Amino acid sequence: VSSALGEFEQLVLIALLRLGPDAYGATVRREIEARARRELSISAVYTTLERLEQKGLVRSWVGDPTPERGGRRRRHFELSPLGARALKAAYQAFAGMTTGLEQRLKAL
Amino acid sequence: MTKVALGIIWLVTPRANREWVLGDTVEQFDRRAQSEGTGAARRWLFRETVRVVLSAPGHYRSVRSRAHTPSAGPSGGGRMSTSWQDIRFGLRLLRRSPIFTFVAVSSLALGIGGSAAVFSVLNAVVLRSLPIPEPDRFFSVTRQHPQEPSQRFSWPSVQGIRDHLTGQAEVAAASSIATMQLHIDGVGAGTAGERGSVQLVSGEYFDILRQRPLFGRLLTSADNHTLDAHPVAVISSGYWRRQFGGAPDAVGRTLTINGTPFTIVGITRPEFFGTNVVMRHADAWVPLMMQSSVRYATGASSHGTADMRRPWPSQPLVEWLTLFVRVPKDTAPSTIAAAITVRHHADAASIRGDDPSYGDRMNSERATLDAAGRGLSGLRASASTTLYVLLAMMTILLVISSGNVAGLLVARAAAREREIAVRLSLGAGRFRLARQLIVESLLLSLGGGALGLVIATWARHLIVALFAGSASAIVTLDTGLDWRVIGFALAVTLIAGVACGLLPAIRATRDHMADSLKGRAALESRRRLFAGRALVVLQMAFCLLLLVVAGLFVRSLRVLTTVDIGFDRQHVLGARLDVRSLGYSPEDRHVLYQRVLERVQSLPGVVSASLSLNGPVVLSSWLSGFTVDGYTPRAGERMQTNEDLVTEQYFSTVGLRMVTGRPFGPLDRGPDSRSTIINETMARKYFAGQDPIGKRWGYSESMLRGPEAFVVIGVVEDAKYRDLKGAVPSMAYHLSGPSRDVNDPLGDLEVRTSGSPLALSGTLRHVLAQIEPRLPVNDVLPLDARVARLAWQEIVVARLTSIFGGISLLLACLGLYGTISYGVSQRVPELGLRLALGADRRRLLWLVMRDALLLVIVGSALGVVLAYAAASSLGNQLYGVGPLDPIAYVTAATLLITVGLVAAYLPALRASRIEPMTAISRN
Repeated sequence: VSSALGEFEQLVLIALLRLGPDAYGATVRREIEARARRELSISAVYTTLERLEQKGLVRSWVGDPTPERGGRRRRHFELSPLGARALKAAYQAFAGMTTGLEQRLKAL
Repeated sequence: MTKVALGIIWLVTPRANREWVLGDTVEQFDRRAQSEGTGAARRWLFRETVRVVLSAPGHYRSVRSRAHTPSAGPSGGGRMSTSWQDIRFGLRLLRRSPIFTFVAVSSLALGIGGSAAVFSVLNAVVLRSLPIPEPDRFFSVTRQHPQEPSQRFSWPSVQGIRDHLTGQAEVAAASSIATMQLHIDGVGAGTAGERGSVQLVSGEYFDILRQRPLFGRLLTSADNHTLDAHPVAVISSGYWRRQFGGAPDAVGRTLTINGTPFTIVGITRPEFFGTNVVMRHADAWVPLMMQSSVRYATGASSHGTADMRRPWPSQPLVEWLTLFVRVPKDTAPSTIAAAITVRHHADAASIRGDDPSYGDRMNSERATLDAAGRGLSGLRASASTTLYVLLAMMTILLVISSGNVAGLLVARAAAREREIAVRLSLGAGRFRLARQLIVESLLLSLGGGALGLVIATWARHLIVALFAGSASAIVTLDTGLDWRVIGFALAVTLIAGVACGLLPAIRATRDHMADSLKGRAALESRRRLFAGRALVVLQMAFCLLLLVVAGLFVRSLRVLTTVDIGFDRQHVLGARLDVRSLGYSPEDRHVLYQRVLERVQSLPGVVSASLSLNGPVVLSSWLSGFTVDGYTPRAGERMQTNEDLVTEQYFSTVGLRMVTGRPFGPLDRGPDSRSTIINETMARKYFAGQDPIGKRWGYSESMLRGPEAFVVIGVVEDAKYRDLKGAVPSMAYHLSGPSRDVNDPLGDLEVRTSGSPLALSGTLRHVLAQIEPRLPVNDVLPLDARVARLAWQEIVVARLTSIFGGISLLLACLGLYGTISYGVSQRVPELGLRLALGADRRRLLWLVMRDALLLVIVGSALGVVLAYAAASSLGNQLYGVGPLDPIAYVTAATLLITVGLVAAYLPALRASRIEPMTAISRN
């Protein structure tokens, strides 16, 4: 479809898939921090989301102001159909490559 | 702090994403604050800000290349875009003259970095709060007394206060931090082991500090019930990383402390370092009930029937604990203090039975709460003045380097004179032009500030190492760059930036600028010269100030380290022995002493050897109240004397002469001997006008009257035992013996050598290791080096101020060089004309040199005034040197004038070598 996804791009896309309508900067970041166990900066999240949006893999829109964030609005993200296809392709490639290797990969 | 961090994130985030990035950050911060506490959330925000700053370039790039903006708002007002223009224009200009930029940025970086480094140490020692929640509700307790306030409590008294305050406030107690011998998992059990610092705490200690473990668990009240029955230890994160390499299985392993095995039950979090702000924090914490198991025996006062040989925690008359209180938000500290006083007076009533006078004393005491949120620190008391002095000197250094940058900018503005004049006459706003110039210098200073922070991270280690006495000493004091340090550096940077730019900005935009369009440059260049010279004079003055202050500190150090201490410092080698950690009985200890003395005395090059409890020029002391016949203390005077236990050869070994009477000998060896030798000060003060030999003294009236009273058999000359600066205190020596030093094993070995004492240190260590491999031997040093250790702070100050002085000399002379060179370049036509009219080249050289000399001398004269003002405020920082010490002033002035003349010589030489024809034709 397009150029291959970077590892971090994949993590972000998976997070969007998991979060569905709840996906915005802070939740994407928390999802990756909790599951991939790495500390990252919020700007790294936005840098990647910007790139993904420019590649057409992600769509974004601005929500309403919320009081708990000091009246600041959220920017929500979701997978575009193109993004969903790219993620699926990446997953299939990964799954295909690792089939039958699960035990050995865990033992590494 | 949080606001600053958010401000920075706001600043470095692309405008298009600011709103949600900030919103997400606030959301995340609040979540963290709720789940982990505000402190943890703040630290997270600090890390996050660093990360956001570091990833800002990538973020900008990703936004710039994007087509649509989700919040399609109008981009920026006119004001903002003009600033951007200024910045871009400034950056372009700076890039075009890389050498100028390099010189300006690096000299600012030196000044900013240096002050940030000093400030970060100051911050760690003096300003910063403990990394605990609500540090402002955390207090230590002082027993106020007109003569002698005390901060020590017995464990029974702490328990009483704790129970009395139940429901009102939380209470915990901790001992001092003591150096002990540590083994891990019994490795090296036959050797002395590693030295580590251990603190004894009550079970509530970690609770009151609101600490959670990194691994395992922390101590609780259940760990502190029964004497010597809780062999559990919590270790610090730093110790865990150093000694266990951060292995997660450290919990459960065995840590042997002074011979007693403890199980490690937990590790504290990395930011936690306890309640003492010191160079080296506690490595391990153990329940205070374990006091006698770990042979903890420092920092105690005992009274009446107290028996220091028995475990301390059960004795109400052994006071050795600092009392900490956490007061709830809605309670006034004074209420709690009053409640503690009530309880303390109840204790006093029960103690009166054992020791009536001490009970009375306790009854006259009143408890007060002192803020302990910044931790307890002897370092703070001793080093804060020093640190402020260093910070002031560093600031002056920054002023000098800013002067250089301002000078460079003035010269550059001159080069751009026509450009500026054209822009002015074309209708550019004066303010706009001035802003452009200030933006330029701000860019320089920001560059300098950024580089300065890099310098600071490195230089603070240097300062700490200097303070710690050696580069290899383990220092756990965290001087990290927190928000306060970065804020300080930023403020200094901005001030320096504006200050550097102000002068050229004002000058460049004055009315007479129009003159340069009309070619009337001569008048203008003279004015500019004057500004440059005024700058140089100021730089010279400040430089002299720094040199004089450095000179005074160096002189003061010299006086201090060569002062007559009484002891013979040239021929004595000392060593500290930690006999206590061996766990010997008093009888065995004396066998060991005899073996040590015999072996050491038989070594070639050894004249004699002795042992003592404290010994010469060390920090420990033993102070007792006493009474004699025929001396009535004045109102409020406490009769106190230092005491020491020594072996027979002590006086001849350390080089102290008997004034009258006899030294210790076989007559005094018996277990009932009460012989003492006192120093001259004690004899003069308490036995004035009498022969002190045969006089009696005792710790109390009843002792003085009984058979236990001490008898003076000799008077020995005065010596400085631990304080090099103060007057010699009174001192009484007792002869050591199995019955006399049961509590306190002799800890100091002194060896008198015929040759250099240092040459013997290796042999001495070797011999001691042969006698008892488990005996910890530390600080094998000549007395001379011990004196230097006592003067460590003075040494640090003398070294650092000398370095500052040297740098300032370099910077100021660079400034002088620049100004004279510029002056010469402006005068080339005139000088050429003089030559053509037959002037002597040597005269020309002198002409320029005279100019420079004038600047240096006027600057020095001004500097002398400044230096005197500064030196008089140093007051007690100087020892044996007045603020007007002529040697310091003359040396500083000579140095400045000499180096100044060398700096001026190069441009002067150039002036004298001008070719008249080319010079004139340039006009």
